[in-house]
Amino acid sequence: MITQLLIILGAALILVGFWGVLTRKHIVKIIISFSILDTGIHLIMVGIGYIKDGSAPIIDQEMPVSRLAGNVVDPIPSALVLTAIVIGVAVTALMLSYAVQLYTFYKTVSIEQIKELKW
Amino acid sequence: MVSPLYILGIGLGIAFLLPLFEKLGKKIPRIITLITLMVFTLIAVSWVVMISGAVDKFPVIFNTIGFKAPFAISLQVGLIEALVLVMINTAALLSGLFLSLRKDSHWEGKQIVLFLTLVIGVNGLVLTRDLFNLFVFLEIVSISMYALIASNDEKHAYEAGFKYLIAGSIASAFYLIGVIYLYRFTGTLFIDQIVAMDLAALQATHPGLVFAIALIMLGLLIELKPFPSNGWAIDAYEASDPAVSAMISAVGASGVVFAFYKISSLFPPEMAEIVVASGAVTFVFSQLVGLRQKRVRRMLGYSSVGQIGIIVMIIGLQRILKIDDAQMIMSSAIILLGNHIFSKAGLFWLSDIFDQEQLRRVRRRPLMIVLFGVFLGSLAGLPPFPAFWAKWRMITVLAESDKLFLIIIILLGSLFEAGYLFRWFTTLLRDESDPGDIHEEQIPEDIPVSSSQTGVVSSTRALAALAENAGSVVEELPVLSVEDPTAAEKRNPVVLAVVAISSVIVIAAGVLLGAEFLRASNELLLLIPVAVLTAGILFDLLHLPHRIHLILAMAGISFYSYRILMGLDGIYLVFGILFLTGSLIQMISLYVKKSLHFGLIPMITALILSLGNLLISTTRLGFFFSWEMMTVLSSLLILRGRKASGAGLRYLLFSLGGAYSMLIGLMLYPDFSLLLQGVRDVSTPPVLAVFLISIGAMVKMGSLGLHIWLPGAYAEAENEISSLLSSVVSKAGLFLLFVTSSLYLIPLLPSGNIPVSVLLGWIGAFTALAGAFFALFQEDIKYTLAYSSMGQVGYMLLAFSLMTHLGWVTSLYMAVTHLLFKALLFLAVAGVLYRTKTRMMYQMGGLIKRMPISFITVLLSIIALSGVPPLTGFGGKWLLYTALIEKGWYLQAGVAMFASAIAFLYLFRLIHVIFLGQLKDEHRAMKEAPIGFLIPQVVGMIVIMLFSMYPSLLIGPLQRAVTPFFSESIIWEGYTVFSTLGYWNGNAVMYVTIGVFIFPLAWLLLMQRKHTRMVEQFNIVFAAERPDRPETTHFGYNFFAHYRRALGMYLTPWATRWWTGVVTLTDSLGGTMRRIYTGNGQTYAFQIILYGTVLLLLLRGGF
Repeated sequence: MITQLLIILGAALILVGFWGVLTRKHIVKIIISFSILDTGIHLIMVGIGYIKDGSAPIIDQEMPVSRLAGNVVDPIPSALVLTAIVIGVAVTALMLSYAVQLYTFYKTVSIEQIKELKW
Repeated sequence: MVSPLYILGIGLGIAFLLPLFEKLGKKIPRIITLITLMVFTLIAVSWVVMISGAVDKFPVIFNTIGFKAPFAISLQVGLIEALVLVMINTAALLSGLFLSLRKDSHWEGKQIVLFLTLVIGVNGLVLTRDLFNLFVFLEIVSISMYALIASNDEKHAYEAGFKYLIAGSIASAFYLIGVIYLYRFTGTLFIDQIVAMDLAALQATHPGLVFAIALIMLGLLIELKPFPSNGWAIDAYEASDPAVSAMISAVGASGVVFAFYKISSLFPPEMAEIVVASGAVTFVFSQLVGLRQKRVRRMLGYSSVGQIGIIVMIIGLQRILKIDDAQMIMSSAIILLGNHIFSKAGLFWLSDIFDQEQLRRVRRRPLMIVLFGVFLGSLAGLPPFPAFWAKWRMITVLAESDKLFLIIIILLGSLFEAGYLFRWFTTLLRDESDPGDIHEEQIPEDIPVSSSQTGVVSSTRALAALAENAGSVVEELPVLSVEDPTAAEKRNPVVLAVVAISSVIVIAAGVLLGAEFLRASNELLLLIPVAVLTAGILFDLLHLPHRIHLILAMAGISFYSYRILMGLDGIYLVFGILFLTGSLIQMISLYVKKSLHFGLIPMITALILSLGNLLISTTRLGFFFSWEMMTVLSSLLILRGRKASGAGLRYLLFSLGGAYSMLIGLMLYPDFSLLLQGVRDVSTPPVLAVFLISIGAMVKMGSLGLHIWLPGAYAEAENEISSLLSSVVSKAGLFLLFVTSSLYLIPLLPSGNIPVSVLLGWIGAFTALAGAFFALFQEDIKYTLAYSSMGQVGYMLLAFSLMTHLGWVTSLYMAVTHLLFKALLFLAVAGVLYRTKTRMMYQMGGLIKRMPISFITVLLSIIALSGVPPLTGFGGKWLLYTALIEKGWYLQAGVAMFASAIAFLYLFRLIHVIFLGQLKDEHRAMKEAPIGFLIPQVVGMIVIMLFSMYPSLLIGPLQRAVTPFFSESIIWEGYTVFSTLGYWNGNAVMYVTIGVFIFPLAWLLLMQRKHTRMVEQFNIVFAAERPDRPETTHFGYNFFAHYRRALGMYLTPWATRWWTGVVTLTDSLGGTMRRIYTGNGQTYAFQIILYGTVLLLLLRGGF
């Protein structure tokens, strides 16, 4: 139940993110939209690995290999999500520095006015 | 074997330590990076060496951190990975060298770090077998590229980089969602494990599986810039530093392509079909849009996108085709990728060098022209470069799988690409005085006369004006002349050397592949022209004296001809003598040139050898290869003409179009190889194939409708080249017709019984007529001769299509005699142009006293050409009419007869205006043409006289050559030839004609001797006025104005209008198409999402 909620929430955030990317004109808002989009994806990733009432994926006497399936949370999505977050931060940082440079060159933050290259 | 982990480990380590190394010295990081890249390359090379020694033991999977996949990330090294990495790392190394060696290089600090991370990322993309790890490497590559794009700190680069970021982020979002769901459905990220699963069964339990794979596919596909959602990528190519664009295009894109290939093993067939469609659309439309592009880097961007498109298409195809075909076609993709990597990088670098040196023209920079030509040729898929072989293999596979439509798409796109790439070439190569679009005669502004001037043209002013005109006459180009000293300062030979390495790689790969492809059929000899060309260019670069080079070349050709001709017989021998001996004699005239003419001798030699190779090729590939070599070399030779850039480009595009048409024909008709091997009873070809092959031949021959390249090409080329092209090269088309003759007997319409040859016959007849008419109205002597050639080749086509014994003898007879008299005419005229420095006939006159030998040559050849007795032309016409009447083609005979009457008119004008009439003031001190021009003329005249007196010398062997095909229709009695309609005795005709001529002459001389009064030349009363356009007062100007008036609308150049229309339409289509690239990053984002949605819907089969 909670997993599904998580996934639905993630999907909603993804849609919000895409909507923002496609409709906002302010460069920084577009960047924020990308962050929202990323967050949505991350939520889904976590949601997929989650198992209700599952324990930490540590193998010891309490949790021998034979009992693993269905009783522990899948560690891989969590590991992936950490990587994805790091990458997302890097991309966002790069985007923001681009935004600063674009403002110094074009004196605008509207994506509609930054289109000298075309055809 | 070196573990691939070293590449990643060393790379990352060095990348992190670079800022520290910088403290040691500014140059240190560069050196360390270059060494690192070299190590990468060497590691990859060592893999290739190892794997090719033991193919069955590979691919090897390397596990990381001590666990096996799926518990840890695994890296795979197989042959294909190793090869791709060799190419990518070599390109990266060359890029690094370029960046550090170029003028004012700012390659330091962060830029080097980003460069290195980009290379590591791409290596990782190629090696990893883990889906999520792939994502990480993809991001490493992307982030490095985003940052590198802006490294030149320019406004537009920031704009482009930001759009790239938006697009890339959307793509990675797609990919990430796909990966996580695929993990959920399959429980693993290890690609091999997923491939091993029964995906169809899994699909039943998890309906979202295909959707997940599709998202992964989409994420990577977007990174590969599919049309139309690729405006952001093209902006980036345009705006960033060319060296960075080279990296993005060569290194970055290649890594992503390989990742896409890796993922493709997950695609179900319907998804693979969508990928094929996407790639094909991208290829053809990018090239179409590229046609319109004037900014070089953006144009290269379109080309890059297109090239990647074709590889994407192949990746899709290899999932659909049978396993053998799939491997074949995948190997062509790898070749295409390598070809693209080195040639595109090379072009971006060259464009940077052009900018650095502020070069607007490269006509005087031989090495640069060579490099430029190599890269463009390899991108356009011309022989002998790798892409040519790859495309051949790809097209063969497609033909075997009945995918004709894709073949057409590929060839169409390739034609567009060749169009804009070589337009760039000709623009940079052309002379300052060349407007670039000369396809018809240009009547110069005549000698300026003020109103006070009357009467005789004052000598000094006239001479000055003529000298000015002379500058615009086609003359040899002094490539190695001294130039602007400031230009030399800007030069940087070291950087050019880096670019040269890239071109050497392309050439070497092309030759090796060629050897591989041609070895199977024992046709390695066909590569000789490539070797000769390379060696010759090297000689030229080393300044080997012109005449020594010429003698070497002629000796080489003689030896080659000797070897080839020994092994030929029948029609092949006739064409062999035509191609080889005919060219060799014409090469003598090159002896007149004194200084080095860069590339002239190597290209002519290679052209002649390629023509010879047509005769000995035994497979479709061998024939097509030699054909294309011939095409490319002749267009390069045309481009040497001072104002020939437009004509050369048109020639190239028409010839390529013809060659591609022929290629499709060959693909539809595999038995073509049997025809080449002389097998007669072959299967019946499809009518379409017959048409396409004959179009290939007719383009080369300049048949009506396909002739519009001809006047410009023949006239604007240098004189020696014009002669060679019109007298020898145009016969290659005829040769193709003869080789494939049995095809033209099939019915034109499925239900009828009229063979295709009837159509060809009519085309031939009307070509003869149109050629003669066009020739009639030219002021420019070379245009007259060009159109005259067109008409003459028309007769040959007409005679050939009779498909009778006599018809074929006639066609061959005309081919040989046309070679003789057209070469003579061109050479004599070349001598005249060499002395008078003008091509306008009305600017000449009275040259008979100054150039008597040339006059005799022209006289003899026009008698021969026009078909009046007693010379060879008469025999040709006699044979032609006999053959036509025997066959019952009375109408065609009528057209042919009419055409030869007109031919007589323009020939009369030729000799009258040039050699008779008044000698021009400025030509008084003129001498006879140089000896180099005269020797071949005298040789030719002797041969013509011989054949005229003793026709059997020529007709006899021709008859024997044709006899295997038809029963004989003519018989001999001594030197007299009998046909069903009469007989021809060369001797008798000669004596009778001489008698007919001598008697009235003697009578006239006798009767008139008392009343003749010699007049001085200027003993003429002039009117007081001088018109504004003095040429109009010359009797030779607009000589046949009355015919022009009489003909009216029949002279409208319909063919030119039609082809101009085609070009305009294509161009405006491209222009409309490119409006989708609005420049707005948000629109691009929308296009990407829309593209994804459409693709997903297609996959679902609707909503």
